[in-house]
Formats: sequence, structure tokens, C-alpha cells
Amino acid sequence: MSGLLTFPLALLVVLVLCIAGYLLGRRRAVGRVKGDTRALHSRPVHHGWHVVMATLIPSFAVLVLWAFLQGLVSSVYLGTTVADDLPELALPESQREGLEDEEIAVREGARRELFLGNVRVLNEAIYGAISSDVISLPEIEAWDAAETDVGGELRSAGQIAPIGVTPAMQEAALKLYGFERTLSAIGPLLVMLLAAIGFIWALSRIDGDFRARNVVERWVMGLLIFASTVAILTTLAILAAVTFPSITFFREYGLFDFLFGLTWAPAGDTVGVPEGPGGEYESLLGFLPLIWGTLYISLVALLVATPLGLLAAIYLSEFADRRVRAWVKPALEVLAGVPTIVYGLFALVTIGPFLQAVVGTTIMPNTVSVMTAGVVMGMMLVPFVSSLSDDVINAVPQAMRDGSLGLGATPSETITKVILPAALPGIVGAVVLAASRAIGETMIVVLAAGALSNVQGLEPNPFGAVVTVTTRIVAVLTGEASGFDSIDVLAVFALAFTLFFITLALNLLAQRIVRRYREQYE
Amino acid sequence: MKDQRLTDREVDMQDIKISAHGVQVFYGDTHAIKDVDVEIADKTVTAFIGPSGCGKSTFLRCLNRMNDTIDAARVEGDIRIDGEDIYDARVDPVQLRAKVGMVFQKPNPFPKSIYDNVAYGPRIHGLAKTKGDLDNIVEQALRRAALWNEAKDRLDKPGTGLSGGQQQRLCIARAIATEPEVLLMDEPCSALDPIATGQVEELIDELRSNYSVVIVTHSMQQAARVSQKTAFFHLGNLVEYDETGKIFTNPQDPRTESYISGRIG
Amino acid sequence: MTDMTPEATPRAAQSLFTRTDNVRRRYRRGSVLKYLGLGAIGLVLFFLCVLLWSILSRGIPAFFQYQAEIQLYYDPEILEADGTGPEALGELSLRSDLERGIFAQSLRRTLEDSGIDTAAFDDGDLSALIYAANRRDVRDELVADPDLVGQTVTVGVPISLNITRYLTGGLSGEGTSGMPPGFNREQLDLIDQMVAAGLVDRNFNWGFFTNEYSQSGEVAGIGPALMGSAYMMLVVLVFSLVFGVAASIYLEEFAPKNKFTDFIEINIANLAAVPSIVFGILGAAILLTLGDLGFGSSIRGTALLGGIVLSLMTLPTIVIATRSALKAVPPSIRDAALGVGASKLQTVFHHTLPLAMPGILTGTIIGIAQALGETAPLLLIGLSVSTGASILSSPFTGGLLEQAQSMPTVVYLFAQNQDLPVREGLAQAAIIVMLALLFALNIIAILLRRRFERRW
Repeated sequence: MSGLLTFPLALLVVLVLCIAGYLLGRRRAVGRVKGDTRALHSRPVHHGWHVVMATLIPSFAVLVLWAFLQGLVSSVYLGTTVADDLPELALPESQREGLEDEEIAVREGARRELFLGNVRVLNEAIYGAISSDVISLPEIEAWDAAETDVGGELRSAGQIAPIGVTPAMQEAALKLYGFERTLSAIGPLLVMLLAAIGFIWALSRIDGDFRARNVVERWVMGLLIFASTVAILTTLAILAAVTFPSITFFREYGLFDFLFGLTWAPAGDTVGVPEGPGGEYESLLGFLPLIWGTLYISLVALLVATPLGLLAAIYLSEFADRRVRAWVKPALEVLAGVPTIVYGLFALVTIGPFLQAVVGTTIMPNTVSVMTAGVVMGMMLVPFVSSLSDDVINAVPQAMRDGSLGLGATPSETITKVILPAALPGIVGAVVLAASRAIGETMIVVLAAGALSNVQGLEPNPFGAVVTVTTRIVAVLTGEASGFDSIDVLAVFALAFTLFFITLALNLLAQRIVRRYREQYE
Repeated sequence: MKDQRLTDREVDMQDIKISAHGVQVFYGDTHAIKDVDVEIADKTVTAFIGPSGCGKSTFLRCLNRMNDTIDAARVEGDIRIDGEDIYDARVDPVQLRAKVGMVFQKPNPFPKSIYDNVAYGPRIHGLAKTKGDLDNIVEQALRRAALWNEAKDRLDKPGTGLSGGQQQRLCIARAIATEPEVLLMDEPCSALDPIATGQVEELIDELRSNYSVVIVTHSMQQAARVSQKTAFFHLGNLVEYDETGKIFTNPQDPRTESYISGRIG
Repeated sequence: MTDMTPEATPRAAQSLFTRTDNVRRRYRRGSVLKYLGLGAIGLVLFFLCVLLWSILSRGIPAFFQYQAEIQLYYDPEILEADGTGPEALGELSLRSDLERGIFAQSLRRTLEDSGIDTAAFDDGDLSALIYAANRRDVRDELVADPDLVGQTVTVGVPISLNITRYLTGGLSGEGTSGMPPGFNREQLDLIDQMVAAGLVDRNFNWGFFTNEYSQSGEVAGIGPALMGSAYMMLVVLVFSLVFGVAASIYLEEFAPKNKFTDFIEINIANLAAVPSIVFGILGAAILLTLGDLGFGSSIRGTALLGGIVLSLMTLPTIVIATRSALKAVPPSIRDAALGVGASKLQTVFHHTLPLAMPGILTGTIIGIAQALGETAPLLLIGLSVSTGASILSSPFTGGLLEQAQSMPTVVYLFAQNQDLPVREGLAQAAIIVMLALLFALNIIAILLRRRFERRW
């Protein structure tokens, strides 16, 4: 984002224009009617704001767009400057033997990508070296890549630069550098120009009859509506992000093989280039072992969280006196506010070794296991279950309690025989929500469930290590993937796809149950 | 005509079932009941009347210690049922409430079947030894609550599916299935339409043969129709307590008279 | 008791003063539930205590560092063996010249000066006691200032973390399990002698707060992570105050009741329950798409991207809090403003919004606290790099667009370190800092709520 560094100046100019515009707009509005503000259709403030908006909105929109488009434009430029017949891009004769034309094309494409990547890195290095005043542009232009080690020079100037820079590479990088300099000079200029035009135009419109208030209010309304569509845009973006790569993956790998495969063993095939002997992918990407691990841990977590959370909620809402509540509720909130990575580390360094000491190393060879992650995740979910249960228990009308107590039932009988049956749908909703959380939980399982990259079959031992959906997502996407070119990366998006829809379904189900339940007592 | 009926009604002075002396109730800082003395006879319908917020419901809830469930409420004074102080430390509210049943203002059937609603009390108090016993108790209670004919074919359907009047009769059936000795009713008809009200009032009159019934009501007509004795509460004080006929025809206290004639309400 | 069976005697004969067996039995059965509830709460509180103990007992000692006072002599004989000048110094071997050379010799000399016999130890035994391995920083210093050669400076060099475990009593120094890995009893005796001679200081490790992350636990710190988290919170604050509040105002005050607004509401409710990792996947998908389009990876791992992803994640929380704050402003205020001829927008911006502001801020702070501890999405967008994240520039000069770390991801990095003292000690120390920040944010939120709580 080299070009952005001059945008702060443009921003500053826009800001100054805004403040000046506000003050001038007000002043001018008053001046137009010779101080008799009653002759104005809108208050002077509105005229001020009108100028601010005319200055700010177009220029700011261009600024944001520019920041995003700059990269795209320069990459298109780079694509067009690098000629296809460069000798560096051709596959050497020695490697062409026995290859079909299609494969040569794929490999030459990869060489081109590599070349372009190197040009980009070189460009960044040149920019870095120049902006830190170590080397000047003419100096770099003077280097002859055939004789000077351009990469080495830049590395010794503290930059990250490719090895084996060729003259063509140097030339392309310098062209790209020049183009980007021009682009990033035009951008801020355009922004400032737009701001100035808006500023002058808005000031010129000020008049006694000008309905500044209506214009301002219409724009504010538009901005409010835009802001509230962010949630929809986010949802759509998430949907697109998980769906498109998944579709490619299912088409390439096969939906059936994914859903019912019992082995997860990524091998790093490139998309479209299966490397197995029979033309199939060498990567084995079966979903079952991962979802098994996820559900196994979630089950343990729910078995811990549901009874504890429910009993705690019952005790707090029906038995505890005010002083106990005043202490226990904040303690539960503390538990709920602890970041999950803290739980993950706790599971790893305290609970895992403890469990291993209790059950022995024959049953539990590692400190990471289903139980390690499940027990801690269960404890994490206790406050969640208890506060949701507390809500539904309190939503049972007092008339039910009175009715039962009035018949001579003890408080416990009232809870077990009247309140709990009445609250059951709401409690089920709470547990479903907790299940959705458990399935989507990441950091605890990443640290405490196991980290194998290859798994085969379904681990039955609750003290054995498993791999979960979220663990695999983190493992692959934290790595150095830079595009959707590996089948393993696509597979991870298929995992994300299933994760998103499973949790979405559970959430919708829980919301439905809880809404029905609340309507019953309204 | 109405007066005629009132004077005709015979009040046989039976044993005193409940006697209350110097009862005070506080809700936090609010003094809700001020020094109330009252004696309630067995096998009689006693009505508590008075304007909203006069404390009649609060006093009713003292009689089976339902006020215990409200943290801020504090009851002082002496309330005896069959001569036993119900606020004595030895008394267990659970046992007391089995003896003093209650029907609430709004019908509050449990979200269970009709059968389970009625069987709830007998089950927790262990009144039935066999399933047959329990069936019998449920049937008797529903018959006495005049709900049997409407409900006998749908005993396993939820009680919440009944109409308002049926729900309230179900709650009465539920209360009498426990075989209480006193039945407290807190404005049992306020949520009901006139026809359902008529049914419940008839029922109350029949219940008199077995129970001592105490009913809080907002409607003077209802008090006149169903009760033998009436107590008038005003601003937490028991203003007047006498035979129903006398309260309505010849009130002693000017406040009672104002209320009866509709000047305070 | 004869009145046990209700049929046998009329129930009226039962005195209220004695409990029947039936009631007693029922109470007994009921108390089981009560004790189960009490047990559940006890268990949860016990768990909380163990959790806190686990963090504090490991983390607090990690804030303190043992340092050996060493007279570091930049011996020209070692340093100038390959020639003089910055070029030659840049080629120094980290292992034979610095670790086994300068550091081992200087330590030996310092010990001998204090009368401690070191004849039994070779250079490797000595340099292992202190942070001497991979001292690129010392080599860089020499390149930058060749005049140092031949000088002697007194510096505090951190004691090896494994030895520190022995010094703090975490390891007994007896038997194989009590021995720091890679050390022997004689080395521990030497350390004991150094302590006795006053050559070892225990100091609060301020560097932990300012240093960059490093594989070497002795000098690892959370400086960039603290800054990265602060920058991201800044982005979240701006983003959520602008978009969250604007969206809430629209939905609460203006939105007509139609399919579109219903759809927005359902969206917000569902976004609130989407697992946080999904937001990371969104970020990762954007990065991969940019990579495919040839943008390179220039926004990967930046505080700006992290802040935006966290903002999208926190948005539902903020919207829900803001809407309930707006809802709490009574309609009478709006009616009053509209009644004197204010437009609907003026009413909102002049009256409703200022009155709802404390509630909005409280909700925002709680949302920010939630975002502060969130790890999974940040892992997927490149904030868990172990190298390349240095102290950030100011946010106004491009600091938002530099490679950043964050508090939770640096905890993750510490947790992945191969050294046990780092994994357990420093990770927990970083957690203490993070929890302290969370705690402070929550306290601010509570105070704000108390201070401005208004009853209508």
C-alpha cells in the first residue's frame, strides 16, 4: 500500500476544507439575507452542514475506492507490460520432453506467475529502499542486472528482495514502480480536487430560498440506511466467501467423497492438476473424521455444561438469597468474559496433565484429548447455559409458582413439577444455542484437542486426540496460502461452508423454539 | 327482591375456623394492613370487599402465608386456624397450604393435561394409594367443580386449551382435589365473562357445605350474591365486618355507606 | 404416628405444629435439588479459582527476570580475527565468536573476579547459563559502532529461562525430573554461588511490555501486540460508533415495519450467533481473492484489516446495545421535541441520541472488550506472525497498514513456543496483561452505567 502514504495529506486538506466550509457556509447564509435569519428557509447550521457534506462525501468515496482499486489497476498494468514471449517465461527444452502441450501451458503459466510475483516483490523493495533514503532511483536505474546482483544490493539495504534478478525483471519492476508513483500522486490530487469542487459548488448554492435542511436530511437518511445494510452486506459476503470456493471444491473433488470420506490427508495438489496415478487427487479430504471430532467434543462439553448450568440457574433463581446472587452472578459473568484462548491454554497446561495423571498414559497418551477440550469447553459454556436458562425460568409467570405453592407444594416440587416442564422448550433452545457455540468454538480445540494434519477413521477413545473442523481451518489458513490454487485450501472452505450452515441452522432452530416459548406466555 | 333474599338467608353461627388479631402487614416501608381483627366461621362464605389497594388481597394471602414468597413483605400479629397460630415457627407453610387452599385472580392452570392439573395436589400430598384412587379423586373434584361433563372426554388435553371460565373451574377443582378445609379465592371471577361468573358463583355456594370459603371481590353485587358475612376494607383498615345483609342494608360506618352507594371506589 | 395415612384419620386432626412424615420426606427429597444446585455453583466457582490460580501462579513470576551482572569485554582478539571494520564484524559467527567467545569469556572473567572457580566448566557450560545464543542484536550493535571493540561495558544479561525456573523454586534441582533440561548439578551449584556473590539481580521485566516477540523467551515481549490491539480497538471504536449507531438509529427511529427491515433484523440476530472463526474465514477469503487478482498481500496482517473484521463481528453486539439504549429514552421526550416543530432527525440528534449516549458507550465498551480477546479470526488474517511485526508507526502515518500482532495472537504464539518456560510462563503473563485490560474496560463500562444511570 505504498501509495497511501500521501493520502494523509489529502485527508488533512479535506478536513480543513470541511471545517472552513462549515463556518463559511453559516456565515454566507446569514450574509445572503443581510442578517435577517428569518428570511432563510433553513437554519445557517444546515447551510454549514450542506457545504461539509458536499466537500466530504464525494472526495471520501473516491479516496476509499482509490485505495482499493489502485492495487487492481497496477496489477492489470503489470500483466500488460510483461510480454508473453520473454525468454525467461519459456519452459527450457530439457523440461519439455515427454510433456503434452496442455501441461507445458500450465507450467509456463506457473513460471509467469512466479516471474510476476518476483517483479512485485522487487518493486516493493525498490520502493522501500528509496523511501528510506538508502538508495536513489537513478542509482537503481543505473544498475545492470546482468552484472550487478540487484537483489543482493537491495537486501543489504534492509529490503526483502528476490534472488536472481534478471534484466527483464528489473525493467518490469522499474516500470511498475513508475506507474505506481504516478497513480499514487493522481489519487490524492483527485481527492483534493473533488473536495474543492464540492466546497465551491455548495457555497455558491447558498441562498435564502435554498432548502439546505431538506438536502442535508435526505443525505443523512441515506447514510443511516446504508449503515444498516452493513449487516446484510456482511452476511452476503460471508455466504459468498464460503460458497464459491466450496462449489469449485465439490465439483473438483466430489461431494460424495468429501461427505463420506473417512480419511483426511492433504497432499497439496494444485487445483485442476490431480497428481494421483489414476488422475485423481492425492489429497484425501474426507469430512467424517473432522465432524466426528467436533461433535464428540461438543457432546462432552454439553454433558458438562447442561446439568451444571441448569442446576446453577435453578439454584440462583429459586433458592439463593440476594447476597449469594450478588456474589455468584458476577463470578459467572467473569467466567463468561474470559477469552477462549485463555481457556485453551488452561486446558493445555493444567487440565490435560491433570487428566493424564488421573487416567494414566496407556489410556491417554497425550495431554490433548477429547476430554481435555470438552471439559474446559463445557465449563466455558456453563455461564452461557445458566444465564439463558435463568431468563427462561424467570419468564415462567409468577402465577404458576403461586398456583403450585398455593396447593401446598414445596419449592422443590414447584420447580421440578411445574416450572421446569413449563420452561423446557426454552431450556432446549438454550442448549441448542450452546451446541452451536460448541461446534463453532475454535481456540480451545486448536490448543487442547490435537493437531494432527492427517487423520484416519473415527477415534472412539474419549482420552484420545482428535482433529476438529475448526482446527483444520486454522491450520491451513494460518499458513502461507496466497490464493485458491491448492485443493487443500478449497477443502477448508468446504469445511467452513458446512460449519456455517450447521451453526446457522442450530441458531435459527433455537431462535424459533425460544420465540414460540415466549409467545406462549405473552 | 334482593333485600328479601338477603334477609331470608340464614347464617348459622358455626365454630370459628380462622381468627385473626392485630394483624399488620408491611411491604418494605409501606404499611399495607393496619391492625385487623377478624373471625371467620366454618362452612360459611365470607366476602372481603373494598376499593382497589385497600389491602383485602394482602390480608387474604396472609391466611395461607402466601406472603412468605414476597421478600419485602412482613406480617405481624396473630392468625389462628383451629386455634393454632399459623405464623408459629413450628408451622410449615407447605402443610398449612394443603389445609388452606387458594384460587387466584387469573386462571393459572399448569401447562399440563387437565388430569395432571387436578391430580397435582393429591400426588404431591400422597392422597391416593393407587391409580384407581387418583382417578376417583380427580373425577370427584371435577364433578364438584361442575367441569366433569365438559372435561371427561379430554382429560389428557392441556388445561391451557380450555375457555377462561372452564380454566377457573379447573383451578377450583385443582384446589379442592387436595381436600383443604379452607378455600381462599382472590377475585376469582374478575377475568371471566358474566356466564362463567354465574357458573363459578353457583359453585361457591355449593362449596359452602364442606368448606369455609373466603372470597375477595371487587364487585359488591357478587359479595351480596354469594356470601353470608362481609368485611369491608379501606386503606388497610378493616372498617366493618358483619352479616352480609346487614352490611348492604344497614351499614354502621359512614365509609361503608359511601362505598356501598358508590361514592368511593 | 397414626395420622400418617390420610384415610385412617380425618386430616383435620393433624396439628399444624407437627410435620407429618409425608412432608418431611418431601422436604428431604426436595433438598437434594437444592444441594445439587449448590454443588454445581461450588464446582463452577472452584473451576474459576483453579483457572485464576493457574494463570497467576505461572504468570506473575514471569514478569520478573533474573539478570547476571557481567562485565562484557569486546575482546579484539576474538572480534578481529577475520579482519577489521563493519564488514568483517557483520560476518561474525553468532555461536563461536559471540556465544562461546565474548559471552563465555566475559562471564568467566566476571566470575573469577568475584572469586568463583570456573575451571571445571567449558565455554558452552558457561554461556548456556545466560542469554547468549543467537545475539544478532549484539552483532548489529558492533556493526553500527565498531568503536566498541576493545571496550568493557557492564551489562545485565538475562539468565536462561530454564535456570530461572530453578531459581524461582519451580524446579528442585534434584533428580532428573527436577533438573532444568540440558543442565547438570554443577551448573546449578555455580548459579547458587553467583547468587551468593550478589552477581544475580531479580528485576521487574519492563522490557516485556516494549520488546518485540522473539523465539528467545529471555527477550520476548508484547510491545507490538499491545500496539496492534490498541489500533484495532481504535478501528472498532470508530467503525462501530459510526456504522453501529447509524444502523441502530435507522432501525429504531425511522425504519418502516416491512420485509426489508425484518430481513435486516434477522441478519443482525444471526450474525450475533455466527461463530467468530467465520468472520476470519471471510477475511481470509478476501485475502486469497486479492492474492488471485494479483494485489499481493499488502493488507494481510495489518491492524486495519484486523480492526474491520473485528468490527463486523462486534457490530451486532453494538447494535443490540444501542437499540436498547434508544428504546429506554421515553417517547414523551420525542413527542415534546416534535411538538415544538423539530424535524424527526433534529429530534434524534438533539434529544434522543444525547440521552441514550451513556447506554451506547457502555454497550460499545463491552463490545470492544469482547473484540479484544477474540483470537480465531485474527489467526486467519495473518496477525499471528512470529517475525516481521515490529513497533508500529503512528496510526496517521500508515501504522494501520503495517504488519501487526495482537494480544490474543501473541498469547497463541507463546503457547506454540517449544520452550516450556515460554509456553507456560510468558503466555500466562501476556494473559494477565490481556485480562487486566479487559477488566479495566469492564470497570469503565460499569462506572459509566452507574454515573449516568437515569430513571424515567
